[in-house]
Amino acid sequence: MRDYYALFSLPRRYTVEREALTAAYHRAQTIAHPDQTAFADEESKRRAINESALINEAYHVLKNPVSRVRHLLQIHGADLAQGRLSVSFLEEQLDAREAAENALQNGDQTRLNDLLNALRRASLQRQIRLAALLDDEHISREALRQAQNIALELQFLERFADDLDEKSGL
Amino acid sequence: MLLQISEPDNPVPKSAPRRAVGIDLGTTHSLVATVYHGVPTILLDDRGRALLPSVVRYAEQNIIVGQEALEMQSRDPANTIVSVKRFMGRALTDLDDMRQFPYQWLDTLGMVRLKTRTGIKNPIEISAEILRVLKERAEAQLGGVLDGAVITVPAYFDDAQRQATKEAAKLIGLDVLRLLNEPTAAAIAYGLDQGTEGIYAVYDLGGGTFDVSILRLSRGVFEVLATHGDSALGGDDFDHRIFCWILEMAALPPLPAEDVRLLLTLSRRAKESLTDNNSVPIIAQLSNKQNIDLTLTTETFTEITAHLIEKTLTPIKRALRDAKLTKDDIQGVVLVGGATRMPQVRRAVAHFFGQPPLVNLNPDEVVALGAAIQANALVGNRKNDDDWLLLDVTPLSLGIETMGGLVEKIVPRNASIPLTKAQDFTTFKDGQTALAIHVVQGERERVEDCRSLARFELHGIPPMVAGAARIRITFQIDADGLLSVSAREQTTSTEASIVVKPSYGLDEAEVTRMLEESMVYAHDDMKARALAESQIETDQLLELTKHALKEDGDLLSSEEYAAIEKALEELLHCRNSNDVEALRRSLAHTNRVTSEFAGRRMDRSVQKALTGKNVHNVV
Repeated sequence: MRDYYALFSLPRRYTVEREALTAAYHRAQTIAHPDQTAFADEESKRRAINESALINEAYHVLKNPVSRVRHLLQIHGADLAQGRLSVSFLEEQLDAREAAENALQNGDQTRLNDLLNALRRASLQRQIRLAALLDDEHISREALRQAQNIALELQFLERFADDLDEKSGL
Repeated sequence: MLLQISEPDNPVPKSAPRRAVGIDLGTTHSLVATVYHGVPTILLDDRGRALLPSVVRYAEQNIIVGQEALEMQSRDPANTIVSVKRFMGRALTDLDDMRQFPYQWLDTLGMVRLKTRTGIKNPIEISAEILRVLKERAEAQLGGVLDGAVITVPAYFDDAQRQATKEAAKLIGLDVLRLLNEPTAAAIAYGLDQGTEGIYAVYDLGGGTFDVSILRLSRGVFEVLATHGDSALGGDDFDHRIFCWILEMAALPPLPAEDVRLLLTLSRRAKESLTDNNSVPIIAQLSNKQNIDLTLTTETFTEITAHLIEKTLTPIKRALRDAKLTKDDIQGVVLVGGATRMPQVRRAVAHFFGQPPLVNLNPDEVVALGAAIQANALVGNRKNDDDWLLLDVTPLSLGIETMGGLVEKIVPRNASIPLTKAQDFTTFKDGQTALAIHVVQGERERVEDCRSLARFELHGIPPMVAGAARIRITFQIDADGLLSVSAREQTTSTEASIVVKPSYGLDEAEVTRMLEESMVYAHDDMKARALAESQIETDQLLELTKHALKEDGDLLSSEEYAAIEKALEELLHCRNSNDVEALRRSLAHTNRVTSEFAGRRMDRSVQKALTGKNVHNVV
């Protein structure tokens, strides 16, 4: 698999400086984008599309907190899919889902905002813990194992938040 | 001066600059622009006109495009094609408003075709005539054959519509360097002109489409963060509101085609006049010599179009949400499209964003200018230190059909292009050598709620036991927003490549509908559905009653017959007005007027049945 950190010459860690990532992305696209070869032969055009598409993919994977941790775990031979969710986390989430359903049905915007904010806070807490585990150059197996579980929770929380955002927003 | 691309004292480059233009192929009018000595410039025709009305007339001897064709439209409606952009990449079944056009549609599969006096034409050929005039205009002024053109399309255009646009250019030997989204083109013209940085919104209300794009401009990079639209919304709808107001105020009966054209033209002029005046007289004489003398005030115009403006705000909110931004993040709002000249549009945009919109460039010209700037860059006329980069997105999610009629999303809406997405499939039967793939566009979970983009079959899969084959299908959307698909059997490396050539594309109105339905946005959605349902009901009632009049008209007195005919005429008129309330009233009225007739027919059928004649008529 392709190492997207290497593609952008970024340090291989969970915390990615947003500005550094965007700058690297723009630099890479300035070279690879098909607009640079619009007047070239077919083969150059085809290569440019593939290259530019790969850069877009890399950027979006590294920008998103969930896809980024999935990618980083893969680089280290771990897998988000092997994470486990604790019973207490699942119970908490089921309650939150039920509360969200009720708030949606009643059109309770204040309650929805509260729930969304709680989700975002919970998500940020996971991201901070992932940074603590995965920002080092050398990562222990135990750290990877823990990270898998937290990453899975993060994925759960982010999906829920996106879903709620879409349903409640408009 | 718009933009200094080459320094004034810079020596002339060794090779002559290539001839590249930007073309805004619009619903109501089209333009061509180029970068001339570093300055983006609109090219005028030999009478000094910038705008070419997007009207093509197939006359006895020749083809006439532009103003001269426009002037003939009420006299020769069937051979004078206006707003052809609305038919690009569309099948007849996609056009629920086809009746309002005075054309002779052909009942064919695939893209619509219409009959003119010089033969059958499709929208690609008709658009090509518009492009041909612009190409010739540019070549005459640039002194030679064009090296290429950037053609703009609404950001919400789907694959079929983009493909059709590209083919129109190909038809006249025009090399398309890039299909560029209209709001993005406007952003380029603004951004490079004003040296702006930050997050900007482009509000593009054209003749027949509405787009909104959110872009981040930073150090020469134009990055589209999200785009949304309502493609069945444009300046034409504002004209139509005035037209309906005239009908109502003057209590007019259903009108013949030329009177409709006349009043629509007057409506458009009244709309334009209200940009600078507080009121405008509307005076006309209809074909039956009836005189119309009305005064439309700004207040009334604002009132009767308020819901149209309201409809533009929803896509803005959605684009902001997809970009994960709020309106407070927006540093400036650029207005594009002639329809944004209306003061009430400017007020609404200013109110929504809490800041006055930017209007320093001509909203009719800014898209063509942006396209010219990009064309100039793409052929390599710019210098290295003028480097800038354009990153755009695809407006709609792309998915494939899976078991049980569900859609598996492969590419989310507002993903950056170009993009490549691979997905693995396997066979489910022993020895299976073919696989059918159905590609759809839309935001909904069920295939039936999305629009079919293309179906294709893969052949030549080596026979294996079920589940052993691993077929990787790669979907690619290029920088023009065009989709291509390729497939490879992984275990044997058997390659099969498919270019997606959809027979017809997504109806833009349907795109909007699908988005709305998928977002729990009940109100507008219900209104649209109510209208569609009433229209279906109307069509059935019209058909049935006409048939009944033919069969059993003798059951009616001449007064009764006339009353029913009049009701049907009014019903047909309301059916095409998109006013659901009026349509419902008219339906109820028609039902009342025809109920006695229906009763008598029933009696006759029963009698016939009892006497053993025509038994199946009762069934």
